[in-house]
Amino acid sequence: MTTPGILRGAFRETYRNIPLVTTLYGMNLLFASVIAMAFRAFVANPGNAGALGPLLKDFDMTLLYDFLRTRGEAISALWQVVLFMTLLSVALNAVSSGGVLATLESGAPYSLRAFLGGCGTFAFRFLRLLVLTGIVTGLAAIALVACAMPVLWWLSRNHTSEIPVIEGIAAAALALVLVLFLAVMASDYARVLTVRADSRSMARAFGTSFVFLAKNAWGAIALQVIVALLTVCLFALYLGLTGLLEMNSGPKVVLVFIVQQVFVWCRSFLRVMLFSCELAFTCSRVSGSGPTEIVST
Amino acid sequence: MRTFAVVPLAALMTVPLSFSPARPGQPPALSDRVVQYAIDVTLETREKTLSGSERLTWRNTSSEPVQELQFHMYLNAFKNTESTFMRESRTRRSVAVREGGWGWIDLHSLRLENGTELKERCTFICPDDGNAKDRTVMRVPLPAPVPPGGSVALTLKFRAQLPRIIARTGYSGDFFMVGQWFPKVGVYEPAGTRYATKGEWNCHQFHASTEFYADFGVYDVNLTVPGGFIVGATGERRGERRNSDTTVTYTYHAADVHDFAWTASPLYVEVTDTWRQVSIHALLQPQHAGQARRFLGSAREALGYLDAWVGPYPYADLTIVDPAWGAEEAAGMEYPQLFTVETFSLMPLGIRFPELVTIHEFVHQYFQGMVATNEFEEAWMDEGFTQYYETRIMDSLYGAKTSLADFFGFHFGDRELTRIEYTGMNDPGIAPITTPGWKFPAGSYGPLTYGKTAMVLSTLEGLIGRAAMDTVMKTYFRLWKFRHPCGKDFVAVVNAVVPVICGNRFGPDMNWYFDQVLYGAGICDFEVTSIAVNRVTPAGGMLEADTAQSHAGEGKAGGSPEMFESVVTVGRRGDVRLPVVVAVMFDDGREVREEWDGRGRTAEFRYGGKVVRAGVDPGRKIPLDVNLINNVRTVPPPVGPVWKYAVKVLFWIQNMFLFAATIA
Ligand SMILES: [Zn+2]
Repeated sequence: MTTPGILRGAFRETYRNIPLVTTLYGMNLLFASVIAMAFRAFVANPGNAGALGPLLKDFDMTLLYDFLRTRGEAISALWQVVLFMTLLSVALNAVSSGGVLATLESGAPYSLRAFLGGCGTFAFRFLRLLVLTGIVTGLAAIALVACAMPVLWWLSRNHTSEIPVIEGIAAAALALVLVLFLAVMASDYARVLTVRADSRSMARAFGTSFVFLAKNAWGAIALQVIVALLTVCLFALYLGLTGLLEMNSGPKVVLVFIVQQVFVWCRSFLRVMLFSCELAFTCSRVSGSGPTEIVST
Repeated sequence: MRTFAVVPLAALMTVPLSFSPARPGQPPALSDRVVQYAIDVTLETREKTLSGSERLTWRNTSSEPVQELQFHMYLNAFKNTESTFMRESRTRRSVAVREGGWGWIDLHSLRLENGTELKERCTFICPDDGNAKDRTVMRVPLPAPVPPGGSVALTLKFRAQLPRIIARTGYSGDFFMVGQWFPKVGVYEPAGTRYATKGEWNCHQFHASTEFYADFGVYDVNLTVPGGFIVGATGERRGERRNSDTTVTYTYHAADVHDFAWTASPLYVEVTDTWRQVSIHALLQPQHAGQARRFLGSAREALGYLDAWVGPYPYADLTIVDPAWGAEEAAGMEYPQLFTVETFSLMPLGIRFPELVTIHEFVHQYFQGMVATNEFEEAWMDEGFTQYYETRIMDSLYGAKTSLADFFGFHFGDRELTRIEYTGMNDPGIAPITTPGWKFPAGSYGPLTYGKTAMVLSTLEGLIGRAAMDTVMKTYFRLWKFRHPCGKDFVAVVNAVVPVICGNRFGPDMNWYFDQVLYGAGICDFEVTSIAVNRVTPAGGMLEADTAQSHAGEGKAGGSPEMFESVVTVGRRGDVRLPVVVAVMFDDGREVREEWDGRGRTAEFRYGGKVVRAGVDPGRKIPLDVNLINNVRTVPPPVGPVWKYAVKVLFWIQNMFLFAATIA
């Protein structure tokens, strides 16, 4: 199957599973709301909020700084909420990807029961995969930084200009992004391969995913890049729209809120579509009835 | 508590400003020209050393004979780990002299004109901290005292090892920033100068956080460097001679300055510009040549601004130095007619750091260069005054809310950041800004001398008005340029000017203000403590006509048709007492402004009618107030800003989660 064909198919498949997209969006909204409401309570401390009036019209560094400084303790409490909810959300995302892939793989219309079933079936495997991906990516990043630091230090000491250092930092950052990109792709395909073959060993699935990506690098990268570009276009559209709407009155705040939620929903749509792409791409590259490379343990 | 006499403005205006006459054919002397230096120095770029010969003529301006001279030997601050600078740096600054990067100065001879060698008489002294191992101040007893009005001429031969760039001076590769490099005589303060009650030397050791103090004079300096090196220096270049050994000697002349600094590097790109009679030379690193307009343009703007609002820049030259990569310790430093800046490649136009540092260091040409305060003892008078004008110039050029950064909707002004530097301290009341530079508690020197002083002056401006402030500063500059004023001299100018312009509004003098903010360490914090709105039950029964009037207490906004009574309580949480304006807004859109003298801890304002908002210092004229959040109260609290930011936070958290989902 060609890349445009896969994309078209994935779009149709995701469109057929709108409730799945909405489920993911709903989970995201729910978790983020906990933080936003904690933040709201923090800002609306009685007596303080009056001074924040000018902040509605425009950014005001003086007021913002004084506000943050006078609420130092509350901020550290808020940070703990943010950290906890982010970790929880990452874990839940790993678990929910099982439900998404199972729903897409089955070809049956979306049902909450099937979605939750998929989540449950793969929950522990995908959490293990999450930890594995984190460890592998972390080690790769540490190795990269360990190599880059002496080079940057040497560049800094042996040049009369900062330009070689800036170039070195840019190169190291690019390499880091590539490593992350590769790890993300490998993790995604490991999940796809696991769902297709009901694989048990995540290390093996991760390894197989790397082998698969090595063999089908260009096709896989093309799909990732296209979906990433779609996200960027979406973001540009969002910025353009909200650029027209300054949040300086109640109705405009509501309007921007609606635009933001549509944007987040669309991003959830693209997330499901990417899984669908990856599933279709794996099907088209791995021979016929089943993935023979993957051995269940 | 300190108090100062009010000197009538007219008396100040008539302070005699007679300096010694210039030689025939020379422009008139602007300063007292206590010192005269003629220096020949050669830079060895491979060994990073200077070999110099210095002829110094020092004049005794006091009315008593002077028995000894004292010299700054400041390169010795970098001689070893036992110098006062290095000892203080261990706790105050993260300075590490890498092995091989030490710097020092050795005196080979010191002779009187008659040939008498005084070198053996020289001893190092440690007037500030008793550190006998410090070698930064040298005492030279003279065989015969210098009589009042008389002079002594000395010839000194020295050799200096430059340190790897540290605390504004030294080398980095082929880049040289040469400051505090020659034996420089201290300041003999005759009785009546600043705080001196008897004639005495003021010659401080080199400290980790302080700057310098020296007398005005004339410098004629021959700088010999290898061919291919581009040179910049204090003063005006008068000549250039190619020597047989491929070196080049540049001759510089600087008059009415109190220091001489220079720089050399083969890599500089020189870009020049002019402002009226002033030639501006920018010596830039090649990779920053594209930013030349940012430096030169800012210098021109600052020249214009200070010329209009403080006084004229009398010199013909100004040199801007952009230190090499790796020499950041040399950046952002002022010397007479020369200062160093800092920037990076790819610096966005919306981040106005090159402009900021250029303007700051240029303002020092006035408050340090010409108004030569003692930077050791009263750092607030150069750094704080400079910071005040830096924020004024930056904010006037680029907008009060956008002058420092204006980048993708995120923006803030220079004064805003300067205020935060002070108010963001863990303890803004830790020490008075008049603390001697080397005695500030750790971490408080910068925020207090720069940040708090700028806010003290901004608040003074808020109280007396911009026009009166400009008169104060113009008067201060006119009276004290090319001299050594101290804090009480500035206060005396304020005390003379303010009553003339503002009448008795602030009392007979402004000592009450300076006692609190200069000599006291208290903080300033006003608040609206509460707004109480009560429904009033109308009086019943058969009423006499005159009792149907509003029952407004001291309020001026009585006669409201609604039956409400409001009480606005304002409070003073800090120690600093200032008159403040309280703005009270009613539900029908009326606004009442009250003046509160701020002396008590609280004050109440009562009104008939429904108050919806009250604010102290609505015009933000008191930037010394460390917390502006408690300055305003509304009834009921507004929900708009709260929801706006909650919605923003929700959106960014949602996106963060989605991003995390993508990579997890
Ligand atoms: Zn400064």
